[in-house]
Amino acid sequence: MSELLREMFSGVFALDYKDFIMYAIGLLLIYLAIKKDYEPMLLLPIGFGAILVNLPFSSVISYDGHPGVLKVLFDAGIATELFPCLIFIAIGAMIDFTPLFKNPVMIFFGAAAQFGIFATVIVAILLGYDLPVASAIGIIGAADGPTSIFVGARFAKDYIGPISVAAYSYMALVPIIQPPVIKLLTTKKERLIRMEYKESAPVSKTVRILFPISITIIAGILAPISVPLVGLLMFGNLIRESGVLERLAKSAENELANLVTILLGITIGSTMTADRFIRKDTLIILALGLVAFIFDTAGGVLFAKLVNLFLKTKINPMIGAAGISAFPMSARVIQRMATKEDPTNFILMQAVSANVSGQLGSIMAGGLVLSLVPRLLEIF
Amino acid sequence: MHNLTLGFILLAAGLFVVFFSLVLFYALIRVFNKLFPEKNE
Repeated sequence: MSELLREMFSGVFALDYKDFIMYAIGLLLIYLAIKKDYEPMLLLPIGFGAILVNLPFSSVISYDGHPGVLKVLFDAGIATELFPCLIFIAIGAMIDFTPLFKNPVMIFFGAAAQFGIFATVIVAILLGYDLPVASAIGIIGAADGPTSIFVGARFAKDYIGPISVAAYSYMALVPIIQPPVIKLLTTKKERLIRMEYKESAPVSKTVRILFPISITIIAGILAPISVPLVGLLMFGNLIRESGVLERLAKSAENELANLVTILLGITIGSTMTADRFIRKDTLIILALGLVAFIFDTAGGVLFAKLVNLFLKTKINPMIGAAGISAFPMSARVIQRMATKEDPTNFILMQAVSANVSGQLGSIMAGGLVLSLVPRLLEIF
Repeated sequence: MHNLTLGFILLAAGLFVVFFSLVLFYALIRVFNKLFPEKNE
């Protein structure tokens, strides 16, 4: 009889206090998604996945020695890097590079604001992580979820849960993270700088078509391993700009994005098992993710201030902070800050140009990390 | 120490190549805008 009872309530007996902590974390992510609107598309499935995977004998991971549904999805979509690549097609179909074509000089801020990635790698190494894991942690600073998952899947499979949660959470927290850093590094006078926006000639369709093709070729030559990232992003963009694949472009930016996002989120959640998530490293990774976003913002602002030393017509250094990949959130934050200082100051177009550049910069940085780290380990 | 040295190399090389790539992209956009202005379309 007691055997039968034990069998009936085996789930209850198998519960551990760590499982309850994971349910609380899952619920917190779901709360942030629903109540605070923080990246709900990702945080909600991740939160629910974290609950699913920590139920006793979770059959979504394995049952009777067979892989469960989330394990199958993980092996097929994350371990193979398929899901992030499909998301890149969708993102490519959503990106409009026109603001950048009209204001190409802003592209340099997309590079400066990647400083956080590399600076965080150094901090992570100082904390004892080896180069590949430190790089996967640093890439949280790309402010680009799919890139973080892509690099994490290759260099830090054990830490992919916290890395993804950090990447998406901090992207949602850009309006909270960036303003204090910007204020700390700029004077009121600098934040009041006005930037004249000259309405330039419309960009031709030829330029919009040639751009993704050329970028793919250049990136493929400079960092061949980045082709799945850059190539598929640009493929999505080419579908959009070709003008003859309207249905496919719409499918890519809606159905494909939505479907893969559902699967990606819940699969990432499935990596958050208590034994892998409740450890000191998770807290360190979350802290380092924040450090990466702070360094990104600082890198962009300080670069803008450096450029100002050589310019007659100064640029508003807050624009530099928009060079991160969190689009269009960062550009909006910068405009909001500018308006707060002076309600008649409009720098949104320049900020959007820098923000679009950030998307290019982040995938280039991701590709570089992927290609440089194995080389460095091989050579040294 | 070894990892730290590699980290600094990654920092320098990473930033350099990202800047270099974006300089190339900048030049590309300028050239494309010159070669294919909207009015010729």
